[in-house]
Amino acid sequence: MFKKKEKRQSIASQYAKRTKLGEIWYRLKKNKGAMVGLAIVALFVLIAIFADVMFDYDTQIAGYNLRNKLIKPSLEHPFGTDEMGRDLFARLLYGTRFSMAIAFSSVLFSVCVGLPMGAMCGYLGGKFDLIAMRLLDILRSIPGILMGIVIVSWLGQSTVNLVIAIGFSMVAPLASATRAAVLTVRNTEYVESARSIGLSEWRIVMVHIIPNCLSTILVQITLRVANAIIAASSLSFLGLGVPIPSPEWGALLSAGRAYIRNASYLTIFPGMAIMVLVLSLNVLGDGLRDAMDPKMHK
Amino acid sequence: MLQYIWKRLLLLIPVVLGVSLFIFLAVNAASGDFVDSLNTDDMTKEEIIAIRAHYGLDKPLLVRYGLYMLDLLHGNLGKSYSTGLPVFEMFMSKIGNTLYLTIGASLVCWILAIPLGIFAAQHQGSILDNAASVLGVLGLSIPNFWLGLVLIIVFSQYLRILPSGGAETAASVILPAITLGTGQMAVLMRTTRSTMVDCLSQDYLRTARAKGVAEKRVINLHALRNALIPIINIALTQFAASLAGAALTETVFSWPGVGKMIIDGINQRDTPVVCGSLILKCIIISLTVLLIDLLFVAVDPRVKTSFVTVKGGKKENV
Repeated sequence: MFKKKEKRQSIASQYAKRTKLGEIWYRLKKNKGAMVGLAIVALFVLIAIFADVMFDYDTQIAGYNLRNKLIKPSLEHPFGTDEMGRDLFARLLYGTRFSMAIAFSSVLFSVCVGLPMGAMCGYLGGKFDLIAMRLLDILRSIPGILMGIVIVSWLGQSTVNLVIAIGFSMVAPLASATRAAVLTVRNTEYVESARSIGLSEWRIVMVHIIPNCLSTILVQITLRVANAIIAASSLSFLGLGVPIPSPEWGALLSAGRAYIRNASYLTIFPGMAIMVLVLSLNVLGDGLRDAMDPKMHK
Repeated sequence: MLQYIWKRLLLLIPVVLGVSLFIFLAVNAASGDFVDSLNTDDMTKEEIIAIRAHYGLDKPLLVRYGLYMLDLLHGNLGKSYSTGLPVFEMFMSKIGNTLYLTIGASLVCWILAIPLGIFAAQHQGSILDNAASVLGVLGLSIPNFWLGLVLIIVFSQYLRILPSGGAETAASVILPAITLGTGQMAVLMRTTRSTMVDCLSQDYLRTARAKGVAEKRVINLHALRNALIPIINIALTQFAASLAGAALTETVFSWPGVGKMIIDGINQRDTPVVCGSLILKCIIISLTVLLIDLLFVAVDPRVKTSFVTVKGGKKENV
């Protein structure tokens, strides 16, 4: 009798132990595509972290050797060498660090600005919501890439300004996504009951509303990182990105474009790197969304 | 209804004002103005000051914005610093090219995306459905400008069958249209698939099948017509966005359109061109969005009831 009760309790506690995040992870693990995406993203993150262990920046990445210039892909230089004789493979791997750092920090920027703004709009509503939403409408009517160009040319060309430009152009979509998520949660019964038992507004927002919006926001963030990588490489491609000789992927592509006639591999490989990482992030983001909302998966 | 249109048009005014203020301040506060981008080595200081005064660049920023907006109210968008032509004329001379490219890209996108999306929805879980969804994610993940460059490498360098840039021959539009269309295709295909999936599980389809309607008719008449509303919405919004300038694609292919004009303008610090074009673009986008909304009122009675005055005088969603 006693044992039975204990067993029942342990099963119950097992279920209770699987938190909402654990549940999501459980479903995500079943999605093969998303797991492959996650593995590739993790690999890129590792490359980005250990880039300076693998290569010496001054000699292998920025230093040039004109004798080796424009060598076609071979065993020694798997992706060939560029117009300065630098190994493209090494530069691409090192560039992971720049592209990822720019993408993550610009998303962080947009989260820091957009998340509180969206949450406040959704929760407070009223005049504040109205005015903030009109402001966001204005920002949204300028296409992202052009906004980025305008901001970089305003602030001047540097890595930090690139981050600000990309982050700023993502504030509006992130804020409206958060607002929508907060709006749906705000009107649920458990928030109403939390209010009826007299919890403070602060506690309601922090304990009941934000954790329940996290899933939507996490998906948004994954997909935004993918967007940010493309945006950063687009701006670099237009010559508005990181200063040379930093091996950011878009900058590599842009430099390779000048040699498109006799060394097209200089254009092809950096683009493929961008594509593989963005693809993995997108697949992972889609997988996350399905895992968080099983109803969506049809 | 008329009241709704007026309200939407009035709401456009603060948006245009906000955009113009943001763009004007950003472009003008940039380090270095138009005169700095000229070659001024053999000019004296007085000459440079005279040039600045001629273009009104010596006045404070807010005064210049005020003057600019005053001109704008009279329908005058100013003249380009670099060519001396009125901005409105320049915009109008380029918008034709952009329209041409946009129509091409939209055709590529619609012809591929809609049938593929419908097919994928009909055959959920099949190999082709999976292939279509891979294609969809791929389309979202390929950097547009890179796809353009790869197409140039393949079709104009190796195969030598299509021109790599410019707009001289009729064939020039093919590569930019494919480049621009592919990115849009991914989004449209995913929308088509998901709305069709929703529609296919509706009860009225089962009813239609039960009363013996042919499968083709079930899909084309009953499912597709109901799914079309979000599909058309996405398709037209994309059309408006690329009409307003597909800056990167136009730059890669040196396509003489509005997007390339704006990027060139930014590089040359040609403030009136950048400001004027961006404001016109915003107006185009907002008007198109308004048109789409109105179109839906005409097509879908469900939308109409959501904002037309209901008995009791309560209005929603206006």
